[in-house]
Amino acid sequence: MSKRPEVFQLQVDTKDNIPVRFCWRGQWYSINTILMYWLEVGSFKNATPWWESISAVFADQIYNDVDEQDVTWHIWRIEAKSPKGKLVSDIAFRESLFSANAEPWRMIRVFD
Amino acid sequence: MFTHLNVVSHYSLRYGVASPDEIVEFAKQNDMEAVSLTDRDGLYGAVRFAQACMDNDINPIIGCNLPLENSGIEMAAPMVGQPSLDLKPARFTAIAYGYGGMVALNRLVSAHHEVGVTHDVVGRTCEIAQETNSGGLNVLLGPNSDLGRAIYEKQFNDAKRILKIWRSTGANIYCEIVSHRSLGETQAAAKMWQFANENKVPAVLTNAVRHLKAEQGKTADILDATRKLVPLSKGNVERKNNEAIFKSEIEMQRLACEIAQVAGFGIEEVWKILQTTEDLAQNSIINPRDDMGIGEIFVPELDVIVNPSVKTFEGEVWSRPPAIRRTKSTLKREALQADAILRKICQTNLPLNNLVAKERLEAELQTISTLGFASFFLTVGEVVNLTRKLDIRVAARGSGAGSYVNHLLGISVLNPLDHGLIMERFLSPLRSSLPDIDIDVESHRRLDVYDAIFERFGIDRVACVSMMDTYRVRNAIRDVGSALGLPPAEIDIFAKSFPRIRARNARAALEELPELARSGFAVLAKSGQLNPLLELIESLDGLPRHIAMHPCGVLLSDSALLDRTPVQPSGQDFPMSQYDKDDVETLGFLKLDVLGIRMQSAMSYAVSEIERVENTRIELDQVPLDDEKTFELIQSTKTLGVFQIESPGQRELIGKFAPTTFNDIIIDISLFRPGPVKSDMITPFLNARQGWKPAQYLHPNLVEIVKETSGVVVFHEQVIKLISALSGCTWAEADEVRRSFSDTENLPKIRAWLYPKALKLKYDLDVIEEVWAVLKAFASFGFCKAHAGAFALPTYQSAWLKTHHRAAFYAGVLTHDPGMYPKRLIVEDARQMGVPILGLDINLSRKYFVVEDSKDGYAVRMALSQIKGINDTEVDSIVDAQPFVDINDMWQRTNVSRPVMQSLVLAGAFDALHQIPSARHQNRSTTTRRDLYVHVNELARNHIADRNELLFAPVADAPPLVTGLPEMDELEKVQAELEILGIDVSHHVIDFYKPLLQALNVVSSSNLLNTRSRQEIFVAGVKVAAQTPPVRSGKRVIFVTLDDSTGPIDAAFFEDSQADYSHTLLNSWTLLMRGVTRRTGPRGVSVRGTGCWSLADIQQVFNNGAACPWGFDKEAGVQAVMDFIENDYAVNSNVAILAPQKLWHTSPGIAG
Repeated sequence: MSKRPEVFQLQVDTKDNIPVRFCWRGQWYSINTILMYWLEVGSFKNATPWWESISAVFADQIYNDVDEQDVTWHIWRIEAKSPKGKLVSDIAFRESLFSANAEPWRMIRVFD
Repeated sequence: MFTHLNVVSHYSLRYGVASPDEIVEFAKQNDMEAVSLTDRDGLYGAVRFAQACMDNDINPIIGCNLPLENSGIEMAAPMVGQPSLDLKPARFTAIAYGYGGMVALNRLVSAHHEVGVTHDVVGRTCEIAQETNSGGLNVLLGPNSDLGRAIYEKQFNDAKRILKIWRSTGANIYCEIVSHRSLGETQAAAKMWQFANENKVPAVLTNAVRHLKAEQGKTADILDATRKLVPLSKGNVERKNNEAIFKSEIEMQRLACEIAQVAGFGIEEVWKILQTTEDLAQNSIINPRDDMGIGEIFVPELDVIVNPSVKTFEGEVWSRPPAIRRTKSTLKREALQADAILRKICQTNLPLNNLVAKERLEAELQTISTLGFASFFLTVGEVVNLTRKLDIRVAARGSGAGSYVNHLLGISVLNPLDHGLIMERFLSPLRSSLPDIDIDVESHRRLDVYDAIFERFGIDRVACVSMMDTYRVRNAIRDVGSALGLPPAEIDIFAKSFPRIRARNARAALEELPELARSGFAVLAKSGQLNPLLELIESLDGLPRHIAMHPCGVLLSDSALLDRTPVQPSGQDFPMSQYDKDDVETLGFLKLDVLGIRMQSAMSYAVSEIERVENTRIELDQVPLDDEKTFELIQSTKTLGVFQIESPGQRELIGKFAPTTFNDIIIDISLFRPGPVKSDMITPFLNARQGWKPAQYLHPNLVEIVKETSGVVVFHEQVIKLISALSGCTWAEADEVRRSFSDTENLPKIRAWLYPKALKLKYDLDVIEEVWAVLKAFASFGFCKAHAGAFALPTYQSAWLKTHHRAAFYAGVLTHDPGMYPKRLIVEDARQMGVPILGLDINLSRKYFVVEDSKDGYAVRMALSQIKGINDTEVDSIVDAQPFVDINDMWQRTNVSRPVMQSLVLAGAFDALHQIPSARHQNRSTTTRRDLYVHVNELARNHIADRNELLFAPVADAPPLVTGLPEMDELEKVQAELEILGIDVSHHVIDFYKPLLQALNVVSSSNLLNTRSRQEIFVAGVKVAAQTPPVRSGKRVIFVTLDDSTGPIDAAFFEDSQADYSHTLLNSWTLLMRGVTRRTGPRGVSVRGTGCWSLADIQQVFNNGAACPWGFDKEAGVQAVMDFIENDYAVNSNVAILAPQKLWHTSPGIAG
């Protein structure tokens, strides 16, 4: 089984803060089993590091004090199924003080 | 219960962020009973950490994170499709347990700096630990270890092989499970845990703590960039998130569960790893006293001290077998023997029939014996003897000069009985720590003394003391700027605009210092734009940058030195302890400060010049201390170049004081200290001393104590005697009370102790109140008389040389440059004191400044080493080949480079040899410096052609052609002298401004005494010194000294005039200054500055104003200058920044 990194926004339904089903590529998947749960902290990719925004001060730009490295991701490795078939993947919930309105769920890995 | 086993402090250089104190504080806040310090590459913070733990009732665990030699290369065998491997060496953490563990850890760290750590080295250090029978090493193999990397790469066979090697070292091996929750890290930690269980290796959980709080993450990133010398980028920053912090017990338990779940383990495994972690922590707790030696005393063994032929260890220091720990009975027996030897030496040198001396000796020997310090004195005496045998001038400084035993051992020249010095300030039965003895030696031979000490006592008993260079504002700005990739030129300007202050004061300085407050940076800071930058700069405040050899500290111990301190080679390749001076004292080593004193070198050189020229050997230490002419010179305030009394403030003070005895010099030096100046002890003293006001004595019993200082308490010794007289306690007890005055919180306690005792001794309450007021004010500000006495001796000796052997004195001072003023001012002073200064001469100049018997008496000849860019080899080749018949001869027989040859020509070194006349007497047939300059190029061309075997090479011995080029005029010659020698030899720079200065009625230094007090005047000159010493008001005052060829002019700029003029003042070289005069004594006038301008700017304004169609209108020129000054046109001119040369001295605290 190989990992295929994916970072997509995801619509997820939860119960007691635990994901129960999600919609991915227009298809709803219900979660059968939670295989693992852990935390990852930091940005996944393409986040602007703090030093770039500090350098921007000298170009009269606004300093953004948000440190992407503070972002915590709750990651569930789940086994889910849809009418089209089964899926093992890692889905992540972004816990951040600075992005309350942003869509917090991501699909970050799919195992083929 | 959870204990962090892997925590780094900021002593992990340019990696860690927190101080050991902060780590301990965090542990305490988290209710942890123990905490570890496992810095990278050294134990620099171990002693402070252990002390902080002792103070906070926390158990210390000490380890070190070290790189494994060649491990990065061994692991680097990437296969196609494999993740890239880290070429950095693998790292492991060694944690000590027991005394043997600390011994092994010290050796392991020494080995890292001496040969590099391999598995074999770890094995040998574990053997060393075993030989002590009292402990060993625990080794944590984490994700960055060779084992961890193999597991991460799924090279499980390699991992098993590596584990086997580690197990064979004899250390207790643990798998260190770490997850900072970055991408894939928890899975890697789980894999490591699984491997540990499968291979029966105990696993422990750590958080590899790099910073205590999340906010410190950015500072860690900056440190990564500065350590790697690269700008910040994702690839260069090790931190992936803010998880490497000091987590609480609950957080660590949660983390254990998380990793266990990924590893497929249940809760039992979680409890097991937490329990193993705690067991290891308990096993690794260090006892600071037994295992590190804190609170003990270690000095060389007696047989080593008294027997110079005892063999000392040779070889690699890390591999030395452990020393046999000396038992208490051995130490006691040695102490008794040492007492007897010390007594014998002292009695041999004791003057006959001197009862006072005999009693004093007995008292001191009794104290020394009680403390068991005889070996200490014998060791220091031996070091001083070694120094004298090398014919190096040596003198004790500090409170040690108050000990009669030191005098009899030859450690101190001053006889404390002659100057009323007491031992208790230096050594007291109430203090069990080793006393501090500093010895002054000739600065240029200081390392010869080091060599002798190492040779005599061996590398297993001696090490240099280290010191940490820490971030201050300038290097913080530079490093933050470089990390952020800001333009280096702008960063440099920003950094240089600050005085040398702490990084955390950057913002305050931008707001408060006038020369900064007007800058563009301050405007940006005010708008908040610099806030992020300033926050980073301030966050680096005080963080260690790199280790350096302490300028004077040497530590001596018994043969267990290497068991108690890690050593690493210093820049000069001396073995250097990783501990600083405070740590060394805490550990009870004998710390000796061998201070290189340039004045001692200067005096030694002067004495050798006197011997060379006059064939007379002067024994400076035997010179009577009551020479009238010497005191006349001191009273005249013409003391430039004299030790301790050449600064403007000191010249003002001695002008008012007019010292007449050696004791007066001691008083003078004691008064001119920050404490006495701040608490205004000088005015009442001078009032009483000069009879302007009667001396105030508080009680007849106390008169004798303060009589020598006219009723004013100046010395620590006087405070001790006052307390003793008032309370009836011993001097030793009184010194303890004196020391406690430094903390104001102690005052009520002291008062409650003193009053009843004084009342019991029948002192009136009024008297007690008055003495109390004096003690309260002066007890913590006074100065140690013994220390001042030790300073006063070279002061007197240098003044004596200036009085009686003036040329030799100047030759010494110019050669060794001991003072605060540039050499060009000393040259000017020599001229004014009647000593001619002779220019550079290729046949007569030597390496250093030498005395020459000229037609005008003894003169000083300019030195070859003064030439800019010349190196020692070139100087030696010239001196060895002297004399020369012409420039060709010199070129052929020396290996001097072309640029240096050109400098020699331009500075006039060949003028005499080639009979070069002055510009005025030149005719078309005479050779000029310019001809010689052209000729040097020909010679160089010939040299190249010769080397290339060209057929038509120019002839090497052809005489210089007379090209007809004009000779350099006087201004050009002075410019060349300044450029090449840094000294205006032929003319004073100010000579060229004389018409301007006359037109402006500028007052010269020699005429200052003729001005009225509070008269507004102009003065001008070359700036030779600028200082901002502490003053009583606490406000910043800039003291400046100008030299105008007739003498120095001292001026002070107070805060009201700094805003407009400090920039010009601090950054210009030649100045026109407006000010108001102030009489400072019968021979002194100083100027309170109200304005200053660059003299070069003023000259230009004058020339432009005076230029008119009919010639030159001086009045118009003067008017133009006055208009210019009125309009303050030159205020903060940036032109001054670009001053071509730095020919003045500045003190810390001055920008630029």
